[in-house]
Amino acid sequence: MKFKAILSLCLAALMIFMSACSPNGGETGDFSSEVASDEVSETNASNASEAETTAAEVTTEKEQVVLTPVTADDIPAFSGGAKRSDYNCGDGVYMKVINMVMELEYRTYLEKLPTLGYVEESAREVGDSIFYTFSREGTALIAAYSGSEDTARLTILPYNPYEAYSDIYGVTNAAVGDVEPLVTMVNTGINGEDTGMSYIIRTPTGSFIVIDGGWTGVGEAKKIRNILKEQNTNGSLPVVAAWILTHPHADHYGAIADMASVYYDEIVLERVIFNYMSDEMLAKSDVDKILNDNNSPFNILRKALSSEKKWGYTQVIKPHTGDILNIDGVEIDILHTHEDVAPDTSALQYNNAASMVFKVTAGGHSVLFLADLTSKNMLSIAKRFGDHLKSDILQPTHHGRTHGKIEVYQLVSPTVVLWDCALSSYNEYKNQDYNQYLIKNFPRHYISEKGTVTLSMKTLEEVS
Amino acid sequence: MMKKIFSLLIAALMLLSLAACADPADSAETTVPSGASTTAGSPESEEITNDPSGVFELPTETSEYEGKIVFLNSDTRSIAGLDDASADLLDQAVFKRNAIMSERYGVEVSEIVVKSSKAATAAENEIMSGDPSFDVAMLNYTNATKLARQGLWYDLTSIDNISLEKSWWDQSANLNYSFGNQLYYTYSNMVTSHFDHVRCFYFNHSIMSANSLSVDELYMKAIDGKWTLEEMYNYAKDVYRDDGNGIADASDIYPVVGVPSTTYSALCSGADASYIKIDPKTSLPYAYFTTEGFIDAYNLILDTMSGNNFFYTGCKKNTEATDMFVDGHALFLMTTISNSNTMRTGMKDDFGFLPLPKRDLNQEHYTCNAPNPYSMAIPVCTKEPERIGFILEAMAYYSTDTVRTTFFEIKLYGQTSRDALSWQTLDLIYSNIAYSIPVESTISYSSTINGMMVEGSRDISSYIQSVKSSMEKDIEKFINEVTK
Repeated sequence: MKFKAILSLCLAALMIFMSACSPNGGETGDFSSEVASDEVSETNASNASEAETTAAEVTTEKEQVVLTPVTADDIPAFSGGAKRSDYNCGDGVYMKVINMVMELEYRTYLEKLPTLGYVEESAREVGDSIFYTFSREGTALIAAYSGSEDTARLTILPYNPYEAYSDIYGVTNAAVGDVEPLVTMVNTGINGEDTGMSYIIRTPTGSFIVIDGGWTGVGEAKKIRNILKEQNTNGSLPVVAAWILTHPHADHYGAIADMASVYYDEIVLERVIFNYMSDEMLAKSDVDKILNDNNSPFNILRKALSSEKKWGYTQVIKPHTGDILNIDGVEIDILHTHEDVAPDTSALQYNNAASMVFKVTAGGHSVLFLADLTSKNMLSIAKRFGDHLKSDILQPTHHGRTHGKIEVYQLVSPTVVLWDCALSSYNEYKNQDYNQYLIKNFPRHYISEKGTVTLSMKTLEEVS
Repeated sequence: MMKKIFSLLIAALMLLSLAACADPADSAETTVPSGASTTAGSPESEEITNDPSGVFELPTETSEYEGKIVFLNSDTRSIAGLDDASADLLDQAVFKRNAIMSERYGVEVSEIVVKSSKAATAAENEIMSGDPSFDVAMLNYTNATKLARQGLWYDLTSIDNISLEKSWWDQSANLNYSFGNQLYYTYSNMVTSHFDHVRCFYFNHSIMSANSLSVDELYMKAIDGKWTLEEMYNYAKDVYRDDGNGIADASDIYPVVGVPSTTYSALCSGADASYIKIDPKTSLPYAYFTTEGFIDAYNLILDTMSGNNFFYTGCKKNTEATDMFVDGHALFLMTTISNSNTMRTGMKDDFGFLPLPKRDLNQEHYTCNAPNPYSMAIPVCTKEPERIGFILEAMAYYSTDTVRTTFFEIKLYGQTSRDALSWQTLDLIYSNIAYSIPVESTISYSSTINGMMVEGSRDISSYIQSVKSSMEKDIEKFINEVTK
């Protein structure tokens, strides 16, 4: 460890995000002195109660976190397996992928880590997957194993999320609120064209979680703003506890750019959560142009997150498969990121494969968001998570167009299917076998172009 | 070298003057750069104190119009700008203009970025909903025209706070886009795409020198109004050089290079033979390409360009043609001003600018067209036209000493031009912008004619006869839609 820099929590995360945009990769340490001197101390967001309070006034006090640059070489040696690969996960996170690993070898490794000074932060076994997270001297090591794939993935982080984001990681006393939790599929569609994926979860405390948001430039941000206002019970600005972005395709991550440009002061945005690939990988992918285009949603968001006037107070969080985040009483279980595709970097040229997949649970029910996950990775999550995929509500992958897999949909067995697509698209693809499986076997279906729909997460009934 | 140093010094001085300009508004009240359609200004600022078109008549400070103004922007250049010392100078100037709007009026300029391919549908849907998320749309004129025909724009002439006759509004656009005294979209100093999109001729100093041609004489011909198709031919006719392989290919040196269809279109415009023109008596469009005057120009251009190895027609994209010119493979290149950035950063040889050549000496003015720039329009359902009008007027005005100055005096004259006389021909180019008449963007005849020119077809008369009747009906329909 060469040095430690004291950074504000959100600016540290922002710095990581910015480094992803840097043509040079932006080594973590390069920003330290600049960012550390730019400290801001303001009032806590939770204190905002008056209706006239503006978002600019409602900023969070920046907690301090130790950021410790790491490389793949800092990952403790693994004995066993074969065919090892290093993968740059982006944002200062590195991974070693080891194939042909026996479970015994993996468990031996887990036993070794405490002897090297690692402290266990979390452990879970789900399906045929095992996830352990350890911390040591301000870093974290995620040791994951998939039995069906005989693969160990060892991921090292330059911070310990259980310390840095202790309000959402390792939460044992989840927030309890009396607000009815809701899930809303936002009406998208422009003259019969798909305009993307846009969902809003209202948490039991009355805050919101926005998922993707849809295209830029076609009014999606305004729709989200209006729904947040309508569903807001707090009497002040709507608090978006998290805005989750599944992957950087325009029909998913565009609307947050419009929110950042126009309505940034009409919400309090506490966190932005996403796990994009490294800048090197993005530059080789189907979104290569977003890095250097000042007007891309990617850079508009980046600027907003570095702007004191806008969302400089917002935390930026990069979750990993196996993580469970608890946000205001809503559990978010991360099931897939681009890190699960590595080392097959050729598959990641198409960002759909890098979609972040997660299950959201609130009010006794769950929603599985598959984003645009590709078919090979659909089969992978079926193998890795099995029955754990069971959910009450399903968002079929890729707007119900391609990549669907009956194997996954069987495991999910939803009561409600939310098709985020245009009617024309639904009709064009509904005869695909995987879609027919959903249509014939499960009772309730909603199509986003027909209109916004809101369901209670307690009863699954429609809420007007 | 001295010329380059001189240009750099001017650029540095302009940068300093912009940076030191604490109050552009106060400055603008006494020193008003000339309007885009009259004269583009020069490195030597000229003072115009008694020009009513340069007097700002709105309050220079008021809180009456404070709040956000949201642009739906399909232009590639931001209207919000960038507050970053390493950002492009124009982005910094836009940011500075917006800062003035914020300080004086409490107006915050925001933009929603939309791809050009989705812009028309997005704007249409939002306006039809009655409550669009934007106050002003920045669409290319093809998209803007499409929506104008549907009656989706507010008539700018009916907004009291907008003074279209002022120098910060583009008078050429106001003229070409007005029908029946209604104007649905136009340009101002607020943005620069209409400056960027202007077509012109570039020439290579080294090839001039290698052929014993005088750069100064060429400039003087242009400045004296004598730069014609015939002069272009005379200058270029002996320039072709084979690279030694005996095959006419892209590695040779040609008199003229450019994308064939756009080059022919530009030459028609330059020869005062636009496909559609405005009848000065009625102020309504008519099909010029059905006239003898157009046919004469058509044939003259083909006569000029179709000489053996005179015009290299193998470039399918602008970048290919520009690269050939940058690499010293052509004396003349026809492309837009925006491509001068490529020359500035990548060209070893010095280069100069010329207007599009006139048809002949009888033609009174040069005409340089600007294809499809991003225009500004207000949704017809706007609930606050006077507020939006006020803000647009003020933005255009305060852009004069920020955005416009940066575009012309710092970037174009200071950074891009490589010789002492370029600014005079650039002035000629910008004094003679002729925007295409909107009806042209909605018809297919122009692309057919372009295709015929590329093929070298002389059968233009019979084609015109075959479409004349339907063409006239199309124009009539257009006029009815935009004037009702």
